Amino acid sequence: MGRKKRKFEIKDAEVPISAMIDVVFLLLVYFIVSQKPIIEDALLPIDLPAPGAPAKQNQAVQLFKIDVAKLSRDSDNIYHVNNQPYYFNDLKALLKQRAETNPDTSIIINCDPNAKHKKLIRLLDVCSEYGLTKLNLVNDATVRFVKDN
Amino acid sequence: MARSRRKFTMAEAAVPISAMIDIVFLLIIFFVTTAAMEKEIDDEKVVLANAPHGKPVTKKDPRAVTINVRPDGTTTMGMLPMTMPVISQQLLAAASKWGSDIPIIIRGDHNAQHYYIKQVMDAVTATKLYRVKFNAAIDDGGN
Repeated sequence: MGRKKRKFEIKDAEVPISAMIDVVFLLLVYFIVSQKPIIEDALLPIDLPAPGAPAKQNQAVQLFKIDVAKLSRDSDNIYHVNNQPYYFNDLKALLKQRAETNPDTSIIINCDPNAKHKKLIRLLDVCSEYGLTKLNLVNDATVRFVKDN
Repeated sequence: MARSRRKFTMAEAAVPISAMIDIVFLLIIFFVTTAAMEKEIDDEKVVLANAPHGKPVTKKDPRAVTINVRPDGTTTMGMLPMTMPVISQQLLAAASKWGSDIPIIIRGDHNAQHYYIKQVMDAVTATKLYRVKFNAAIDDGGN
């Protein structure tokens, strides 16, 4: 009886990547969906007296007083400079002019406790735009705080 | 008696990737959770006002103390609501640890009334800290 030949069958070696691709796609979709839009932050510095700093005396600084007040519901666009009402665009032009003539002007911002924070930020932003950096924030103690509903 | 035939069968060659996927998952979970902890100081309930001309934040001082002010006046530090006395204590502790020149970042909601921001500023000045900065968003559209 003749011996039969042994058969060695070798299949092609394959890495099963289909499952891995599924998982990778799932992760990709997850990260794309959960990605939040990146909002770039800005910082607006304000001057507070440093402890032990010498008081500024006899300096010929020009003062410029701006009131950020809450007058009515529609008053977000109105600011007061030396008790004169200014629309925001007019105030911008005024600050630009002031920055060109004297960039060292000290600006005193008197903020109403009832005013919205965005109104103050808008003013600080304009000052930052025109390079006015000497900003002092004071608060009007005479105005009574009324909580918004 | 006839001899039985020996069968030589070779298993299919495959790389065991299931264990690798397990490890990859573990790594992803680790990175996702640690990244979330880094962002924790930013209170999601605070919508920042727009300041397109503000100084962009390029490098954050690691000593910076961030105080969030929500529209209803609630103040939070590191996602924990805190009262003004507690905030003052935290500021004092930070000042004694790192000095009085640490930056204080006030993240006020755009609709928060200035009274609440003033309370935070009063707490800051009472602890003899003076580097106060308002946080805003660089975005042309919106508020």
